[in-house]
Amino acid sequence: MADWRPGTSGDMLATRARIRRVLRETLERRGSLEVDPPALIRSGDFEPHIALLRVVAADGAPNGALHSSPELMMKRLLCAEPQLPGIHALGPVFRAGESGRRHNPEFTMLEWYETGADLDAVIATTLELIQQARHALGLTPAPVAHRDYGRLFREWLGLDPYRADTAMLARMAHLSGVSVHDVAGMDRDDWLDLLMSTAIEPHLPADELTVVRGYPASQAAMARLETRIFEGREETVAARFEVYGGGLELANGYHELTDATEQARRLETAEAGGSTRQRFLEAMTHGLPDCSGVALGVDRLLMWLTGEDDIDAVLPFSDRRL
Amino acid sequence: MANYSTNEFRSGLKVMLDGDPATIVENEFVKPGKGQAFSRVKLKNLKTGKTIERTFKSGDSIEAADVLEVEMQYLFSDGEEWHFMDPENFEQVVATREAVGDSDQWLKEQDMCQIILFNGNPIQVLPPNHVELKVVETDPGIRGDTATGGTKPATLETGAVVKVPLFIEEGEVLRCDTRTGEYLSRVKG
Repeated sequence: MADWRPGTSGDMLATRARIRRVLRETLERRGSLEVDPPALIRSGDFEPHIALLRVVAADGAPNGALHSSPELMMKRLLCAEPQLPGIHALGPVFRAGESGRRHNPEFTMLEWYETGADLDAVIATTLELIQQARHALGLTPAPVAHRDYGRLFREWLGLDPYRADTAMLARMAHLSGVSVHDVAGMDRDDWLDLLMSTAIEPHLPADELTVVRGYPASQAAMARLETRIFEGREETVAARFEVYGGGLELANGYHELTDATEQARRLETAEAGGSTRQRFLEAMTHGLPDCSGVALGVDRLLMWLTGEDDIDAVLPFSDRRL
Repeated sequence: MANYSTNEFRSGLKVMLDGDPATIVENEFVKPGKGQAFSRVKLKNLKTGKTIERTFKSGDSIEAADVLEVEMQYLFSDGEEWHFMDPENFEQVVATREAVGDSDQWLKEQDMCQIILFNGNPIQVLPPNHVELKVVETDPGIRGDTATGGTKPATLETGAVVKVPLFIEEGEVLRCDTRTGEYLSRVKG
């Protein structure tokens, strides 16, 4: 007999609906405008580690792809309407091959941009959204720890992530019990990502929110750069933050890059592009207002709020039930 | 043999790892939102039985192992080699001590065993989960003692030693679980 039932209990379904409503209402109260960027796009292969799901028509003709993030279209909206205090979109995004206890190829993302906001301001918004979600479920506000990426690596692995070479990173991975099959295929950022996931995230306190800041400049993508002090010296890092609920990555945000020339340079290495890249860069040249943007994984947030350790329990139908 | 990419990884998949055949026990997908994806895989070496943890970058591939699980009948052993036969086509294979490990203490002629073949050669022999074997040596039974819960060792016809209740006599046939090495019940003759 096939298991036709959803992964969610009746309570979870109600919790899901409540959280979606609270997230929307909280942003709307702050003057943000809800927008609906297209989910069916032409191309958008601008993130090196995110694979698009391609769309093919019934006759076999390629018909673009499903978006992995509404970022490009939302930025184009802001370029056209820079007077808006903020815009947000709540809906599904798609990433090929991402499947597991914490991943589903289709998941719900809340993405928002605030004009005139720096990183501190959107970090505050992100925490407010999460604490409002807790409040809506009758939970007390979670304690918040602000941590520095460099300090976390120093604390848990004894190394300086901005300067350690690949050999050093590989050695620390080995010492922390992570044995990599093909070491030759790993670059510096691969090692940092692996160590972050396997040797640091598990140590973040389960019931706390941890805001991590100071990601290496090589992990900036569409963020501007900022200078921070690490161990008494100035370090140029990405103006980027992540919020973890326990060891679970919930949100990622940038103080957005507005320099069109620099943006074009960073996209040079991206494989595809065509009209999507061209229109995006035209809009950036026209001018993106100073803004910060955040993507919050709504399913992950639900997992953390309800203590579920499998995404299947918070999604009506995960890819295991299709 | 073919190759398997990380997106084909699932438990039960047989692959070559460090020159030995191994089976995937667990596969965990790990990925920071903006970062590189990895598969953290738990594998069991099919020759040694050892569990290994290995991390693969998403998109990496690994060679498939020519591993087959077959049911075969145990024929006989000379103490150095163990002979098995497929009762359907009468094909025979010979297993070494390394492949048989300590399974031999449960092997009774005619019993059906599970054999793992790697490139056609046995690398692991698993006795049936439940076997019925005769007691060849144990202290005299204490009649009627079914309540005290005491146990004593009993040697079975295949060499295994199991803990049995005090009332068990030599010559009785016992049902045992080979996975735990535990006595289950008497078999009425």
